[in-house]
Amino acid sequence: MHRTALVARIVVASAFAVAPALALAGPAGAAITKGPCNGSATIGGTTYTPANDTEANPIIVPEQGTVAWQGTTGGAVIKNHSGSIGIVVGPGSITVADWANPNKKGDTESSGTYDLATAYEKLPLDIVGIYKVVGEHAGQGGSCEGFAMVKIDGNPLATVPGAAAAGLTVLTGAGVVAAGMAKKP
Amino acid sequence: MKRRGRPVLGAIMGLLFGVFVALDLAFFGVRPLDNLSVIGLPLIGLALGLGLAYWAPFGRKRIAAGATAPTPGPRPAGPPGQPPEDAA
Repeated sequence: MHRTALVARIVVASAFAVAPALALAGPAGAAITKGPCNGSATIGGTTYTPANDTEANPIIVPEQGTVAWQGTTGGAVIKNHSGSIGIVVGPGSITVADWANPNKKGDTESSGTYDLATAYEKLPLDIVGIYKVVGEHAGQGGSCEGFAMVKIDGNPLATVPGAAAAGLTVLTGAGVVAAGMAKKP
Repeated sequence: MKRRGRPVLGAIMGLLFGVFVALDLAFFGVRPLDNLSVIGLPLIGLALGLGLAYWAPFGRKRIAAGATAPTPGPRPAGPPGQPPEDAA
């Protein structure tokens, strides 16, 4: 089975906090917005699917552990494919992973495990919190697009970005109040 | 003279306040960094900062209803060695 093929990639990603989901042109609200792909990831005994696409129902990613994933293109053979995964920031997204492969064997499904520590090493900062991730996978024979909501477990005040943001919120809030102080005539 | 706050400080601090609130919401798992958070909250912060600066509600001395305006204080004395004008 081709390790780097298609949706598997996306599934893996979804498992480690960077991921979009697999395809499943399913019911309204499902994370797959285009294509026949589908998949799932199991983290800590909980299995996640493309339906984990809201703030209230995110993919929970612990600080450590292993992800068991599987994915399929729904029977479609996608050759010379490429794809990417990004974190949504406002109207755009920041790409955190990408790939490309000829898929000469014509794989349509894949599965495996992934160590979360490897995923965290790819993140530029030690961050926690909730993020919307988007993914796309396309090539000769089809394409898939989707998104998922990922929540990285942890105490934000124990991370540098989280503590800094909290402190600066207080400081700038005080600045707003100071701006509202009446000047003496 | 009309009392006012500091609109430039209010605009800058309000904008930054909105940005950091958006980051806090993401870090604390409340809301991802979507359009509303990244664009909307800073704009709301900007409006809040400017609004507070022009309204300037903090630091004012409250005057009870019906009370007369405070009378001006004594006039400053002239240079040393010169008697006040009223004494001339």
